[in-house]
Amino acid sequence: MPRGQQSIGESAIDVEQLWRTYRTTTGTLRRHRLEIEAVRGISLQVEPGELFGLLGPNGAGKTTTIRVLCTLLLPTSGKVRVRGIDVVDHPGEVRRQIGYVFGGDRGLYDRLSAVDNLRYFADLYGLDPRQQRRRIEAVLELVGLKGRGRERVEGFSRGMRQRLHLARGLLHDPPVLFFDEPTIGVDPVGAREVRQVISDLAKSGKTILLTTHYMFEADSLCDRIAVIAKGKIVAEGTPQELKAGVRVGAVVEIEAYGVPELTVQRIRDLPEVDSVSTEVREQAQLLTVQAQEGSQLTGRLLQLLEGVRVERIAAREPTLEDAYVALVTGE
Amino acid sequence: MSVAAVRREGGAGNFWRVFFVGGLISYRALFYWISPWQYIPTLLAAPLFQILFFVYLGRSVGVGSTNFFVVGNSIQVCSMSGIYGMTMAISNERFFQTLSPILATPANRIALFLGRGLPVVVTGLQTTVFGFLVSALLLDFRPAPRDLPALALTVVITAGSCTGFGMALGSIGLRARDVWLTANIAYFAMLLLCGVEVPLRQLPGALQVLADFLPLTHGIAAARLLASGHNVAAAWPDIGGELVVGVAWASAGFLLFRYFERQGRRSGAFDRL
Amino acid sequence: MVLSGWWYQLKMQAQSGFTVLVALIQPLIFASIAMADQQAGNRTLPLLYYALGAGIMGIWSTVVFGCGGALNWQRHQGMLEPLVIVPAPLVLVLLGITLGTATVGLYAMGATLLWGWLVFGAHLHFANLPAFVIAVIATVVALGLLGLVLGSSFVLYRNSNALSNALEYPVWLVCGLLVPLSLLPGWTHPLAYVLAPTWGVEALRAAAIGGNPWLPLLWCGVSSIAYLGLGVVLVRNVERLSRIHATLTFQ
Repeated sequence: MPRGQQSIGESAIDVEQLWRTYRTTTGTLRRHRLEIEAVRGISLQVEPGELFGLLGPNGAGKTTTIRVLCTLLLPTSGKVRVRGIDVVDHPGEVRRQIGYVFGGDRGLYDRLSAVDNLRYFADLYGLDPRQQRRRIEAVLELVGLKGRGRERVEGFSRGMRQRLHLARGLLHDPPVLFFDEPTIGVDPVGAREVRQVISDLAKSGKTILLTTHYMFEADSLCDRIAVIAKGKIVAEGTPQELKAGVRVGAVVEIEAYGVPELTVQRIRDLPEVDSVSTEVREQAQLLTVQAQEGSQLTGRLLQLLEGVRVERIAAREPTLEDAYVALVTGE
Repeated sequence: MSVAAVRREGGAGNFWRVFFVGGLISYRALFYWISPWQYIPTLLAAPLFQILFFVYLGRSVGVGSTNFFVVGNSIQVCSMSGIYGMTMAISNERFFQTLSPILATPANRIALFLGRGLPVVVTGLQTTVFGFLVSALLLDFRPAPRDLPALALTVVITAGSCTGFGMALGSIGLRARDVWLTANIAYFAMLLLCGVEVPLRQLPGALQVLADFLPLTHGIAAARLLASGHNVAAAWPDIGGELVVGVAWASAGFLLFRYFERQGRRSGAFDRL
Repeated sequence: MVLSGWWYQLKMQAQSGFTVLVALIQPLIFASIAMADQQAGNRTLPLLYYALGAGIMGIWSTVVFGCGGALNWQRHQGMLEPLVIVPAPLVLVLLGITLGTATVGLYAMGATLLWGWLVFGAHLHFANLPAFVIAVIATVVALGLLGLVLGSSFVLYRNSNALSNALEYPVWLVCGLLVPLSLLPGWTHPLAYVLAPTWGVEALRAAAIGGNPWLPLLWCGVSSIAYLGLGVVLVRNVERLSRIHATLTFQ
């Protein structure tokens, strides 16, 4: 069958036991080689038309995975196919079918206008020259940059650059789209718009794989999520499934001032407590204590915190965020 | 958004489009001296004074003739664009981190790489023509070529071979920490070695051999022959030599580019400044 | 204030690869070109003449690129605005920079003389060594001050490299650094006489090869003082203009 045509029942994205190791040298005087295993045996399948999220903290291996899928990186081992085409053997074919959108300030030609940036890539993607102008206008409008096409990119804000990245990925109307942290560094309003665009694209039948470290983003956008930490997938499923699978029974949030480390350790040592994470919020500390189902901890916690100024202590239902934290910290 | 199916262009048509149109767009994006504030001082004023400087130097030492230095320097100044400009037009991708998105496209790599050379060659030619013009105006430069088309061809080929050399430097600049030092050294070394200011026979033998492999040497020699009224037949070997040198350097640049692309996929070293 | 600026600039430049290029490699190449041509020609002027000339060309290059580059670098670091609003006059800051770069240029002089002696067999005997040393200092100062006058325009110009490029050859040519003034068209002579470096170079050559160095030195001193005055006026104006045209940052 002609390449590029998806056969029924075949996944749009198929990753089988992907391993990716980086070799770097460290030190200036005595250089020795380091092997960093960025991705350690990841397998996943994304069905056509699905919006799949790869969720994980920085350094988890998300960007590495997506770059392998975009043919920019070779796997150390494993089989990776997009629309049935192997990314290693036929990268050119894969490139025709995918769009790659990554975040950040760079990646665009500052000295050119938005339209010129798009024109260049329209040529690189082999778009029919007669269609280019209309197509460029259409994508600019879609991402909310209508009328700003003639401006030079060097004057663009971070959010506008992100939208231009988005426009570029959509130019050739690929059936599969990869978004690498699409809303990072974008203001909340702009981020919401970007998410809306992504959601609409998925509804129109595109297969989308996006990486993010924003829990709520994955929760609200994705059909399915894979949680990735330290190069491995630690959980996979729909957002509902993940929430249901949350092992965390109860969560107690404590806002206090100057909690000594010894006290935190004592809380951790309590038998019902699964984990304690601390966060500094301005001058106070926020302790999030995750404990087993049904444990009545509040009293004992207050006892341990005697002498410490406690602002607030409250028990609440676990959220996906808690599950996520538990998963990625490996507890 | 409802969109009619986006049509793709056929292979050959797209190749030439990426080559010409794409080449021009990336030139505008990466070649630094386009604005008049840059262009005039760097590609017009500096070459003008350079020509004057060396013509007078020649008169001071009593070497060669006005024509010797005019032809040599007017052609040499095309390497401002060819060497520095071409290096910019490739290695500045690193600064903008645009190499990844470009390599994620299915575009033909030859068209992508070589197409950028064309506007650079044209810029180089502009500089050379300007050099000849001001020499005619200020220094009474009156060449008497029997074959003007051949002289023009020589100049074009030389501009091309300098650009080819620049392509090799540009590719190196995609990975090396500082390609500019190398580019600068090469540029100035060529002033000394390629017969621009110093007659080749003055140089030690080893350097003369080196000069054979550099752009400018053959092209300038041919141009001097032609400008002083010699037959095309006398100049052909040098014209051919310059062409070979240029093609060799451009190929080296392209192959290096491909090598870095493959290596980048293996090691993940893209866009790491 | 000036001294600290001078010292700081010296330190910075000594660490830059670009400086090595401009202060060392470029002058050596030009020295080689000139001396190779001298050997191929009628040898009316000694090799020392050209070695010296190339060295001084190198000093000017370091001044022009160092000044432009330093200002550009400062601009990049966002330092220009703070420098302008500092109570000390901008003049002193610029003076420190230009003198620092000129001193770095001394490397060029040393290198070309050494190179000339080693590779081309130039005879390094100086007719009047004390006068030579004084002349060197005078020329360095003169070039630095010329750099101050021209460099004030760098503050206005958003990217100084292009301007630096364009200012090398003209000064080399008009001041007769490598080519005797007598060879240049008559109408350039008045311009040359107004430029301080011309006299410094005259003095240098007289001290090295033979002739009276003291009169040129005097003129060099006089014109240098004039340049200082001109520089102060220009920099004040430029300060004003740069605030109007907002060229102190890259935005």
